[in-house]
Amino acid sequence: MIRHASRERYVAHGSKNGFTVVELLVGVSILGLLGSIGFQSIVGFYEQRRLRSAALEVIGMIQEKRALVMAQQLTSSRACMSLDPADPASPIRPDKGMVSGVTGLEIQTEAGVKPDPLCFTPEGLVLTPLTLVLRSPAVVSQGDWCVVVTPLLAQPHLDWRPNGQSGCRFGNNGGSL
Amino acid sequence: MTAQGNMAIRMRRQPWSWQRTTNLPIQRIHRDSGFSLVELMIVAGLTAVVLAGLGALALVSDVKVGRRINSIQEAQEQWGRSVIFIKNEVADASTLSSGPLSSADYPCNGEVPDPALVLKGPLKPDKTPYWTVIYGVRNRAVGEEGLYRGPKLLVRCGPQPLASARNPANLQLEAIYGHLDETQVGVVPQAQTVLLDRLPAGTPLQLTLLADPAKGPVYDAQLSLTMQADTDTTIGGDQPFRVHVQRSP
Repeated sequence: MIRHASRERYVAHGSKNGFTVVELLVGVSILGLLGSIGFQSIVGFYEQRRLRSAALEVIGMIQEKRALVMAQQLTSSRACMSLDPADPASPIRPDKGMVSGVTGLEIQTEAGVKPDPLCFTPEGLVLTPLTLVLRSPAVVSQGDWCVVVTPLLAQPHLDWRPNGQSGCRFGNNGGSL
Repeated sequence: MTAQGNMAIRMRRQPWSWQRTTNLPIQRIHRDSGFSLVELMIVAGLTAVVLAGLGALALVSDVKVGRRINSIQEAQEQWGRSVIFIKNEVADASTLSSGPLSSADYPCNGEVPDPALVLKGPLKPDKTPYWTVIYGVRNRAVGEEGLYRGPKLLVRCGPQPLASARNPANLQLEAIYGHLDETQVGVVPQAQTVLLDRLPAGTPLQLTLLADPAKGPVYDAQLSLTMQADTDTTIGGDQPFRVHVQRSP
């Protein structure tokens, strides 16, 4: 009698509090799904931050070149800088010197072509506006970063351009670093 | 041991009522089993959710603070760069005057800036200046909201600077036009450039000529330029700066 009661208790306890394999599989699958979505978001977020860091580096390089042109009164091609990361003469080299570590950094104009070199006057001025779009095709991102250099003082503006937006337009708040 | 002795020991082992944290009998506090797995998992899940929420809030706050710092830093740099540029260009001028200007006096397209600082170059034999550059504040136009921020903009109207140094060097042109491109002088309409955005509403540019223009040419002025660096941060307004014509009259 005593043995029978304890066995009943054991069976009842096990069937109420345990999980079946199906339940476990469903639970693990849901957790895995949520985890993969979260992981994608986190990877996208960090890639966006990396691209932003690369854009800040590009702005720093433009300002460095401007200071150099002003200090040495450089003229002609020596007052210009290439903005193509694939150009060996360009200071923008993700594999050398840049610390943001973006994989496959691409810099284009709004029209999607390679930008012309950026040239300064001997006083460090820029006579035409310049818009750069920084992107990394290596990682799926939710958008690109835009760098706009306005004349005359080569003032840089930086802002996020979400996917689907054609131009680098910053809305009412305007661009901001 | 007698039954009375057992009772006495049991009563002695129980804490006094004022020592207990609850009024429930001791037998109901102690459970044979601890927390079940489900209870532990629920608690762990709730803890994870709370920690993730706090982490997300900290991250968002960090990103916002970083963005704000960058924005203020950018504004300070732009303000300083604009001030130096204006000072250098004023140094190349011959005389200064101030607005308000009529649309006939304003050689650029768009709204006439107000207030305006007018820089005039050396005078020709007929007493007209070789060149004129106007600095002023105007409202942000429709269509400019995509690039420029703030309700007002600091603009420069006048001939463009030289794209490169004069080759060969021409001291006479240098003396008259300085860094300006002489081929751009007199072209109508003149080029207008936005030097600075994010100027607040009101009077972001305050301009005082430091001599009476009725009594003779003015060579000095004091400017105060306010910039809205952030929603609640302005810079520059409390730091007036003087500009001075260095060209000998």
